[in-house]
Order: sequence, then structure tokens, then C-alpha cells
Amino acid sequence: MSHLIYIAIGFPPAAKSSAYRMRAVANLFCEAGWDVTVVTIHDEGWEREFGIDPTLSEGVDPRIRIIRLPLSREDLEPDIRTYSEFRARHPKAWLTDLRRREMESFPEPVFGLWREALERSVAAVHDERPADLVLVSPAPNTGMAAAWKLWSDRGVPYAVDHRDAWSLHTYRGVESFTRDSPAGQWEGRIFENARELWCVNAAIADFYRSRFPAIADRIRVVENGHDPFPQPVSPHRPDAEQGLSFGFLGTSNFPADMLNPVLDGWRAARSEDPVLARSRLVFRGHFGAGMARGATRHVAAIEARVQDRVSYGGPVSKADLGTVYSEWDALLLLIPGGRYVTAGKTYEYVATGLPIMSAHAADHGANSVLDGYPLWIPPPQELHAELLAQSFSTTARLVLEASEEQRAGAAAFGRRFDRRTLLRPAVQALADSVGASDLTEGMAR
Amino acid sequence: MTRVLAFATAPPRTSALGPYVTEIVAMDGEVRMACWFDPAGAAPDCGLVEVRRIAAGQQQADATSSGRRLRWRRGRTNAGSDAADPATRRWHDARDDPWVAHEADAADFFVALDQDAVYPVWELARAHPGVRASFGLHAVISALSGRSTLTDGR
Repeated sequence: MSHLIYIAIGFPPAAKSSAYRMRAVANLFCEAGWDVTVVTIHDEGWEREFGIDPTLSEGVDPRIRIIRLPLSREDLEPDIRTYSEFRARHPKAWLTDLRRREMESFPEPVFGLWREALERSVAAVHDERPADLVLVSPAPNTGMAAAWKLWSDRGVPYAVDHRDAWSLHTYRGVESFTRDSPAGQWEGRIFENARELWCVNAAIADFYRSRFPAIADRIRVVENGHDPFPQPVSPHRPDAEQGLSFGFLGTSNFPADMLNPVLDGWRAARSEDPVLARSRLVFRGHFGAGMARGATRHVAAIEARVQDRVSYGGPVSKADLGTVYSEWDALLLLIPGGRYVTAGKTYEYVATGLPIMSAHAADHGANSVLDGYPLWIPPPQELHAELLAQSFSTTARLVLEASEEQRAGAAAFGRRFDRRTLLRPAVQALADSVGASDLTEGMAR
Repeated sequence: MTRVLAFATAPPRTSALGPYVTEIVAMDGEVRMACWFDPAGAAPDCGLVEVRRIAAGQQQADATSSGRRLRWRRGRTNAGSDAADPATRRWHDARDDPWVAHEADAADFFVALDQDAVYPVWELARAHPGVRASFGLHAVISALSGRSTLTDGR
């Protein structure tokens, strides 16, 4: 049986969006007859960040072995007794010094100091049970150093499933660092020697094909897709008299300033549209990590609009997703970035079959997923309150006037993006490339 | 009953406080907050048992002193602390406040709710072996439910 070492920092039960893709990839390899060892960090590390969601682990194939390294983000350490006096008295200076030390170890802030432990751990797993392939799923990018070192020292091939990008700032659409910088040199040596580089959309793949022409044929687009909801979404009949419920479910990974035109637009729409005047706008999800949970500028902006029936309701566990979506009439897709960002949330929204109002850049990667969705209100040309007010009103009309045929079409559209369906060919091809795949019927499920 | 004594130098956001206080109360806990601002309306309906404003240094300069307070003050003087430093001033304010001294003796957890409250909590923890100290209320919940640990200094 072939052995895969899967460096997947963010594997379940981490309450992170990465967990879904990682779980599916590990399960598919397992179903293909591979022995899979996942290398991640211990649960206490996630407790410091966005927390854990034990329901995410329920879908992990029990044959998968999971190594949980005792690594945590030092900057999110909550135990004040462990702080030096310097850290307690001068937190900003302490953080500056920490970032410097992290960058000395590996050119990635926050995670650079994990490099040595990851390298040692992956080598130890290989010593115990020789690996045929290493698959690493950044971020953190530091994990790639461990994959590269095992290849460099022992010749074990590796592939990279990059859920974001490194030298490309996907939100701003600009190069993050040059090829001759320390990070650029690392990226070059890692990508050029990788068996495959997976990207989540065509725009990122094109960027890397242009940056690394020699490996263009090894770069593959592997879209995110979505998982079935544990409880199916059961849309309810919208009631204009009661008012509608608009919902946002995600993380606050967008600049807080993006919220202002949305909230202003909501207010303006409510002042002109009697249905919206009776409606509410609910934000759910992880807003802030560690000590800043629920204490971000985003939440402050939301709480300042309580008179407009805007609220923040905290995170939602995977098990409750279907229930929460079922309470809403329309979804607000508020995501940062532009053409290089598709966002896992887009796929999840599409899977609900609910009307979706886009509030993001006009030229955005999400458009490629949403194009053709029967209940989509595309983004305005600019994120201005006036234009967004029109979007809210248009969405409200769509909610109230959508035909059964449109709703059925939306539900069918979402089924195209089943995560396992999208991942399976990539897993199969990668397994075949090391000449050790043993695909079973299970994989075709 | 678990007693939590939290410190804030700026009004905490309701969303960052309320759900955690509710959860701690559900775990048979009580949360009190000492703050460096006018608490009126700062944390409405959050479930806090008590909120007290810590008196600034000058206001309590002549207040009655307990043996503990004198020991703390002496310790800091010997260490050559700079009372002009904001972190030190906040620590001295907390150290010399009678309500804080009383509640600190009964507390199971000290919690800093913001970055500037970390240093007073760090010093209080040094003076109270056995009391766990965290940055943020989530760590208290996590410790009480056994998902993570906080050292107690013993």
C-alpha cells in the first residue's frame, strides 16, 4: 500500500474553511487505497485562533492517521503567566521582535518558527513508514519547507495544493515579493521541484504559469467546491409583511472599510423600500481570532447599526449550517479581492439555492462561479452605498418574485460544484503520477 | 463557583464580552470587571456581577493601606519601577485599589480584556500564586472545559 504524508495544517477539527478541502483530499486518497498520514497541529493551537469544530472530524476516514504537533501561534498565547516581563510591559516591541525571529527561520511571518519542528516530524513519519508522496497544503507556507527537505534529503516526491498563493497577493492582485527575495528563492526551489502545483482558480494558475514557465504543464486548477450540508437547506416562503432576512456567513477577512458602503446602502434601501424597512441583515461567522474574537472593527461597525436591524450572531458550527441558511431569504456575498479570489464561501452559497447578492469588486473571481446562477444579483460597478442600495432592493424583489422553476434551477446549479466531484480527478492523476495508485470503487462514490 | 476578575482599559465590545460571560455563568462562574473608564453603559446586560472603576493613583494616595498593598509597593520600589510609565501606573492603580485587592484574593482567574490591561494582570498573577491569568475570556472557558490549560504559578 502506498503511503501519503499529507502536511495539512488546518485539518479537522480546526474551525477553518481549509478543513473541508483537506478532509476531502485525505479521504479520497484513503479511498484510493493509500495509507494516509496527516501532519497538523494540536487542538490547543486552534483553540487560540478560531477554535475547533468537532463535527468536522466526524467525516474523516477513520483509517487516516493524524499526527498533531504541539505547535501554536506564540502571538496568540493566552496564558499571561508564561509571558516575560518584557512582553507584558511592551507588547508591541515584543511582537516586532517575534516577527523578526520568525522571518529568520523561514520567510513567512507568524509561522516561520514552525519550520524545524515540521521538518523533523515529516522526516520521523517517513523513517517509521517510508512515504511514496508528500502533499502539502499551504498556508502556512512554512509547511512546504518540510516537504521540500524530505525530497531534498530522501528523494520523496511532493506536490503542493496551494489554497491561496504565495508570491501573488490575491486580494490586491499584485506580486507580494520578487523572485530574488528570500521568499522568492524559496518559492522557486519548492515549486520548480514539485510533482504538481494545484491552484484553486484559473487566474492564479495563469499567474504561476507566467512566473514559472518551466513547470506550466504541472500546474493544475483544482476548484474548491462545497460539501453537502449536514442538515439540508429548506428555504421557507418569504413573507413581505414580516420582512425578509438577509444573511452573511463567513469570516471577517475583508477590510472593515468594505462594510461601510454595504451598511450605508442597507440603510438607504430601507428608507425607500417598505419591505426592506421591515427586514433584517444578520452577520454570522468568525469575526476576529484569539483574544480579538468578536472584537473586531467589523463587529463594532455592525453593532453601531442596530437601529437598522443589523446584527452579529457569532460563529456557526458545520452541523448547524443548513439550519442557519434555512432561516434566511437571501445571502450577502461580501468578499475581498478581485479576479484572483473565488472564495470557498461562494461555492457554499451556491449550494444553498438561495438568492445571492454580490457585494464585491465588479471584476471578481467569484463571478466565474456565479455566472449562470438563476438567483444571482451581480456586483455593482463600484461598491458605493447608492448602488448597493439598488442591489438590496433588486434582491428583495427577486426573493419575492422568484418562480419555483428559478429556485429549482438554482438548486440544480449548486450541485455542479460538489467538492469530491471536483477533487477526484486531481487526486487520481496525482496518485497515478507516482505509479502507485490502487483506485477502488470507494473513490468513485 | 468560579470567580473571574477581568480588567479593561477601554470599553469592551458587547459582542466580545456578552457571549463569553454568558458561557462562564452557565459553567457556574461569576465575572467581575475592574476598569479604567466610566463603566456607566459600557457593558450593558452582559451578565457581569459587578463593574468597578479603578481609582487613579492620586485619588487613592492617602487611602488606608493593607499589609498586602504595602508589600506590593515595597516590592516595586525595590525593583526601581518608573511610575511615569503608563503600564506601571495602571499596575499601581490596580494594586492600590481596595476593591481589586479584595476581589483578587477571592479570584480563580485574572483576565486582561485588552492589551493595555495585560501588565497589571501579569503583576497580579505574580502576587497571587494559584490564580490563573489569561488574555481574553475565551481562554477561561477553554480551561474550564478542559480543552486547554492555564498555568497557576505553583
